[in-house]
Amino acid sequence: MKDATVRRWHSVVEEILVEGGRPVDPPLRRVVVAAVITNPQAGTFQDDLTELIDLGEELSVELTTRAQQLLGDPVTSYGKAGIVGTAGELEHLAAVLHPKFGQPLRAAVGGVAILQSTKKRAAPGASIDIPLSHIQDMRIRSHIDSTTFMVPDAPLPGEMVICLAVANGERPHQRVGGMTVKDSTAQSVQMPGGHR
Amino acid sequence: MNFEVRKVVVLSETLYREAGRPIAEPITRAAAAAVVTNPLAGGYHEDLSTLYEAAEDLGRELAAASIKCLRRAPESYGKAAVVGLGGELEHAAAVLHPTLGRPLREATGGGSAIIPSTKKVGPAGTAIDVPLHYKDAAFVRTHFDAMEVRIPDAPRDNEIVLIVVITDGGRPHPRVGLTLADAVGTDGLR
Repeated sequence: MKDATVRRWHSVVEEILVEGGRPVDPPLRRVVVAAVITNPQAGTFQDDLTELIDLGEELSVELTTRAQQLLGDPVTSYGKAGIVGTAGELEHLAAVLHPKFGQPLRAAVGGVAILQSTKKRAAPGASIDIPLSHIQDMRIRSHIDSTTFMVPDAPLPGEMVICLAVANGERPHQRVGGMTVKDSTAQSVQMPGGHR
Repeated sequence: MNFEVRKVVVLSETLYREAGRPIAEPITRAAAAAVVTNPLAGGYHEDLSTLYEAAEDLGRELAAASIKCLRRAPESYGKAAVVGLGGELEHAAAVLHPTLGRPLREATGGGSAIIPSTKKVGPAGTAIDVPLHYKDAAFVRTHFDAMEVRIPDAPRDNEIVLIVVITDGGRPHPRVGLTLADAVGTDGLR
């Protein structure tokens, strides 16, 4: 990592074998990888957030590599989130997560859809729910899901926790209808391209 | 079928200052959450349609309760559900996805963008982060946000907490581009 000051990487692998009392086969795997980083703009208000925007791109590359390794399967759904320490702003998370974070990930996993996200400002140990949706089209209902993540000692007031979540499949026993992967193929052609 | 409602919790926050600076137009985010009995708790049911139907009416009430707290027109929205330990994650999907969208869109005056969501199974007191984005164009960067909601005594094992969040603004002091002025607002994305 060139510019980010990373204090620790934190990862969680979930593997769901039983849901509603019935086996899930193959098991659903959800992986969250996160970087606990120094927030270079904590405690200050700056109009220019470029350094954080660039940090987002750099972190995305590393988080993507780690997430793919831990998942071990092709990524079918993804999402992202951030927790900023109490000396920072929500907008610092927005700068890391939105302008440049998505592209390296989409390129690596072959996705085109928006990454859904959540963000909050909180004390160390705060948990965050990270939305997950399909890499081709966020409307594919079978894959709309989420997962929960926390790092016990982060973020300190001057830090941020930047999280990437990926999964290898649909919700266990998904059965509420709506758009499927098959339905989306035709429609995704009409979707606006070049998402950043 | 209507849900048996134990209580409705409304949580409204209005932001006046951020990063030491006043917010020109204070931003209100309002969550309305219903604690309801999960009629399907305790067993596996292939057909979840009773949950779809009940969610539509409840969604209308929750949207109205949330909008009542706002000071301006609705701008962003999101939804979430926490299922008690006697239920399944898919019960959350059943209350959130098939029918909840329509009442929420009617209440917010349009809403062509997908309604972002989170879901989980957990004990009473489980917190959940409800994702938020602009209701007519999911690409609008100024409105990507979230609101945490937690009810200390819900859900019990046989309950579901269904949550709707509506806001009258995006993040305070947005400065990473793609604002409401950039939105076309016809396809739900741009």
